[in-house]
Amino acid sequence: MTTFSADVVGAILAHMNNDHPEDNLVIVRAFGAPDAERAEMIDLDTLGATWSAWLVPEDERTQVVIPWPAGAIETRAEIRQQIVALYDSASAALGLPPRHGVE
Amino acid sequence: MSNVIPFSKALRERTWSGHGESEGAGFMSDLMSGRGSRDDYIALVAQHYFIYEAIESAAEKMTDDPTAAPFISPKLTRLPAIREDLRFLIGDDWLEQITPLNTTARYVARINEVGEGWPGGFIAHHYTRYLGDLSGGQVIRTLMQRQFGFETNGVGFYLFADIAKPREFKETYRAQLDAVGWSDAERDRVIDEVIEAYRFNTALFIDLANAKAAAAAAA
Repeated sequence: MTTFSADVVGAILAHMNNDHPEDNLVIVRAFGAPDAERAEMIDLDTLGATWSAWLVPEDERTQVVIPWPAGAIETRAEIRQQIVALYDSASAALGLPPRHGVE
Repeated sequence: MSNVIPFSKALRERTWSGHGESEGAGFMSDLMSGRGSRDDYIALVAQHYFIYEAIESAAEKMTDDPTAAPFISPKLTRLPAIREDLRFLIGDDWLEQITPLNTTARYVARINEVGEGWPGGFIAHHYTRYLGDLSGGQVIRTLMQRQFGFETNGVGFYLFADIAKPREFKETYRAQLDAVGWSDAERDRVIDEVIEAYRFNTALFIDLANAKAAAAAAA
């Protein structure tokens, strides 16, 4: 399995966790941790990404692993597309008012 | 100053909160992460039938309304696909087999009410459903296909065959929202109605979860 460089992974995780914490939360709530109160993206590779979700009580955590909707991907640009696709589908699944995803 | 922020932007900002209610999210979260059953999916499609039946009936009444008309497009129409999905999923007598849940009945009553003469309210419900489905439907369809072995039968609802470029369609829709000459007060009313539509969706998931639990207890 191909992996992305540590620089790419680090940049994406920092962007998602610093700039889009609520998008992380919507994604984990729709994909396996409906009770999550906070979420952080902790890893990604060519096949998908992993989020850590904080449940109530605060010290309880779970990991949510989500395959990319498109299957295996190769480029950095595809990572962004896949995260947007996950966000949009999560938002629709939860019945949230539509919004453009990760900008 | 009034109307400095484009309406579509104000709408997005004021109606969106990642800290929204998580209650009820479990039903959809199970379905999205492979822990739901085919029956769960069917239960959801059945409720979609009643909701879209109301929205698309309201759209027919609104076709001559100058405010609402630009938003109404046959490319969005979902009802024929939902009917075909239900026929495939539960059989020719599908209509006799399905019933609206309590929240669905209230949701439908509200859509009917705004459809009688409030274009802004109609647009609020139209926007909430169609733009969400158009944005997220593709991935939901793929997930349901993988989980339940569907090809296109059963997931036609998520297939907008007449919209080749969803992104462009959504941009046009948002531009149309910005072009409506609503007063600030009317903008606020429309935004409140979008929030109301979201509340109906959340309550519907709770109903679906409760109905599932009741069916499991009875089995």
